Amino acid sequence: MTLTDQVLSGLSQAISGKPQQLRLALCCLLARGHLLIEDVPGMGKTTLAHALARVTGLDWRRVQFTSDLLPADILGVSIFERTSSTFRFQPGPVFTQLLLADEINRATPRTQSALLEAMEEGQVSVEGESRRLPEPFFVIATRNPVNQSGTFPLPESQLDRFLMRIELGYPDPASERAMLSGQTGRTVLSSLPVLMDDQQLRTLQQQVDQVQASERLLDYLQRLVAATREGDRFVCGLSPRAALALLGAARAWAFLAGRDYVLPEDVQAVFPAVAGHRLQSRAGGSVASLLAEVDVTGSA
Amino acid sequence: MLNSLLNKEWLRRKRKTAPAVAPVTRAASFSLVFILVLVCLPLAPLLPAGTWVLVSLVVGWRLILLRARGAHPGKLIRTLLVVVALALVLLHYGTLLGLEAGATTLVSAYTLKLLEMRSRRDALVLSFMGFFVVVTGLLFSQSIAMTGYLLVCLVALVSVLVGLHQPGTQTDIGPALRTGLLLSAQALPLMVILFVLVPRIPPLWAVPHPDNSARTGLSDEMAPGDIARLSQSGELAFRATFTGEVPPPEQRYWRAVVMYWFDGRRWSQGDQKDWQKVGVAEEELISWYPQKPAWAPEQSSANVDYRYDIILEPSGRPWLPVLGPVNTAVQGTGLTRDWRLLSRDNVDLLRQYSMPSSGFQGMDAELPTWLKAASLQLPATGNARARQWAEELASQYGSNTPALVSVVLRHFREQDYYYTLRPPTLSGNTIDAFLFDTRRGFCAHYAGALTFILRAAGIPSRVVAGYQGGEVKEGGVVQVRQFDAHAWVEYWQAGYGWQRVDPTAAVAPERVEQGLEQAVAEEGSFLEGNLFSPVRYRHIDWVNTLRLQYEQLEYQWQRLVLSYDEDAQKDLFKDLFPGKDTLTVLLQLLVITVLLVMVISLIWVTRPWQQKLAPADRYYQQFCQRMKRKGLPRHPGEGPEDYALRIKRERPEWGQKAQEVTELYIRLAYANQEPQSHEATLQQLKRLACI
Repeated sequence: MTLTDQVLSGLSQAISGKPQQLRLALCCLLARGHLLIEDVPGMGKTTLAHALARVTGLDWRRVQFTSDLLPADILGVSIFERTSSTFRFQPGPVFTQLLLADEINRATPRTQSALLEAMEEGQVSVEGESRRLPEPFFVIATRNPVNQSGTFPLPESQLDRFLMRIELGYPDPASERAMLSGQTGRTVLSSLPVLMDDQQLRTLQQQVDQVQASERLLDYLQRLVAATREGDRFVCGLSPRAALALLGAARAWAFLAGRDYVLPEDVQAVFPAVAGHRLQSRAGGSVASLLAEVDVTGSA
Repeated sequence: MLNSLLNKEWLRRKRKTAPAVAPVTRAASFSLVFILVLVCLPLAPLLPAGTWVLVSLVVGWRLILLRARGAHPGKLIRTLLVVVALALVLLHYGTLLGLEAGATTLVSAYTLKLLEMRSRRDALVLSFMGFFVVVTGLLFSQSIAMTGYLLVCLVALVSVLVGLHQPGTQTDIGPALRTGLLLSAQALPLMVILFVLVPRIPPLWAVPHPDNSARTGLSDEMAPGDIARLSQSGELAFRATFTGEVPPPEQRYWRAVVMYWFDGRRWSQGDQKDWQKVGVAEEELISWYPQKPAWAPEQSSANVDYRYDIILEPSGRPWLPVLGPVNTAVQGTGLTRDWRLLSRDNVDLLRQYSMPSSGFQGMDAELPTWLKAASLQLPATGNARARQWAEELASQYGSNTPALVSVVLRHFREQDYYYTLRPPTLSGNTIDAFLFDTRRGFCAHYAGALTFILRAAGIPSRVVAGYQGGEVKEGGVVQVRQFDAHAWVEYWQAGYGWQRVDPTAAVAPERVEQGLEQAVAEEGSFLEGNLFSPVRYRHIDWVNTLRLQYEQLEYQWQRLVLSYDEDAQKDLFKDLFPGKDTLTVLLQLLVITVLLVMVISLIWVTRPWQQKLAPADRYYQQFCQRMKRKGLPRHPGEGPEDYALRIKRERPEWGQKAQEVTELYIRLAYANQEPQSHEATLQQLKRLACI
């Protein structure tokens, strides 16, 4: 059993019945991307983040976004220290390896963008000074699709910063029963084994980078991306950054499957999660129909 | 070091994937048995009865083996069979070589190899032998039907070769047949080009000709009833194409054989001994080209009546039928003293020649004594009544030969003589019996009887056998069949030379004017022994139309294809490229054509206008095509692994293979692979995907 498999089985002790989402979440982590979970409260988002932090040995923090949250509340602030008569930087919750940003769309765009810079650049600028964030840095943000009042929707450009968006969804009855009887869920978090450290995670991430994507696969990937841009399935096609994200995610997915090369199936597996939140469907266009129509092996 | 290790590894894998002894699949074995029968059928008339039995036995044995019963023949039995096969050929032909014997030996060997066949290599040898046997068929017949049949055999053989090169246990012969057809169709234009362009040089080694001596046709002897037998054959004798006017039927007497010698029953050409009796040497009987015969007058082109080309079917005899007397020979022929054309060799292949002809009048105003003696020869005794009648006539008319002849003809016409294909059998004094008792006969009876009477009356005369009439077709073509065979009389009149007289015309003028069918219409004996001859049914319209069209086709085939020899090629290219050396032109054209064909095939194979697919993708798509034909098409958005899983789910029996193919394809297309194993994987994929 490989390390990643152990991680997955560890995660499934906390969140049962969601292997696909767990795998995508781990895949996102291995691809050095950030994860957006769109779901109603109480679906286990925090548990997932917590469990992920626990088994990977990352330290984590959680920020509840509200409309009055300020950038400094996330990034940190310099405070005057009386003893030394100097300003000393007090790092905010963003200085962690795994950040759970709850209900990110409730914060103002200003605060959102403060986080987004951190996500994209791996650094924050506070009072004119850039500070590196720890490595790895992984954000799991959640968004509430139902409770729309008092929210500031994330514009497409900012959604683009998230590698994946997933939905957890309601658990199946068996999983729910297991949770109710205390076999899974938050109660077992503390008993989850720590399976690796951040050094090992970095090694895994480097291994993911080594996964081979052949010319044919890149052909297919480009066909997919081009298909989102052509025709009138979507309002706007995928960006080059999205293409890169897609490749990275597919690599990680292939790595999770124990392969050192990417198959079209890997691209297809991660495509809805990677492209779903970046694409706005028009009538008749859907990610599923796109995947079904673009030829996997045909000529470019 | 590493390299050599890798090489070894590669070799090992290669060996593992291509087993040394590949068995022959049942489908291939069945096809090979079927093809053997197909290919040997044209040679069937040659085979001695014993070989027939042997072939049927072996084919039967093979079929039993194919039903997974019985045992393969042991070494002893195989040796025995070979000995028996060779003995059968030797017994029948007296030799293993020569054309007919060789073909029979080949068929025997081919059949025995079928029995022996176990491995794929045997099957390959067997199909190559098949090609050889196919070609042998052409030595015996080159008709358009035979050529078509042999082309079908070729396609079947190519297909079976294709099938043998497909590994695995394919039972569907459809794909192999399609590929075989395609390959053959591709070869067709090349075949035509090579046929036209390859310089036809005279052969260094001559193919022996088939023995045509047993064919129906004229013979150098004639007994009453002989020609009646010929009249039962609807086979083509020759075609003549006239430039200009076609002579009327009563002028169309094609002379082939002249008979002088009568032994009381048979008329014959006579052999050397007969001619020595009258003291004449061969040089006086025949003059070979290019010698100018001493007896031939200067040729004047002014009195040429008809010009024609003849394509003569193989007869196995040297006679070249010509219209009327000829006085000049052409290459490869000789002119006889009685103005006929004789081929130097027997006519065993189609023979084409052209002749001008003039009316038959006034040849040999003076008769050499030896010829006169031969033309008056009669047995010393026998047929007393006929002799008596002849003497009465001679005393009555004296030297007024035409009057004497017309009296005899009037006798035939006015007395109750009958023209019949079913004459009663004669014995003893045949002339007397015919003239005075039975009075029923065929042309041979009348010609023989008239000649006898004329000779007995002291008039030099001879029996001429050949063909009369023929069917006139479009474009000045006259088709003459064996049943047009005829015999008539030539008598000599001092000062006038030889005159033709046809006693049959006196008895049954419709025989001469309308042909045999009309002459015996009442009797209903036309081709009575020949139920399947299409000629017999020529009164049925559509049969007749079909027959005429087929004959037209066959004629064109002969004219355009079969007679395309060295001379025809020279003529064609002399016309196309006047003033140039034919051989040079041919070689240049050949080189240009070959280059052109190569360029075209290169373009066709690479197809630069199409998006090029890597070999791996091509093979994988072939595999997908195959699955699609079996009802499991790959959806465009379906990755190879998903597709393999779906195949396995829906048709578990193909799952294994689909998985293997997919694994190989993924290794080639997506995985990071060392180049040295790439080729091996590709070969593996190719083999698997093509099944």
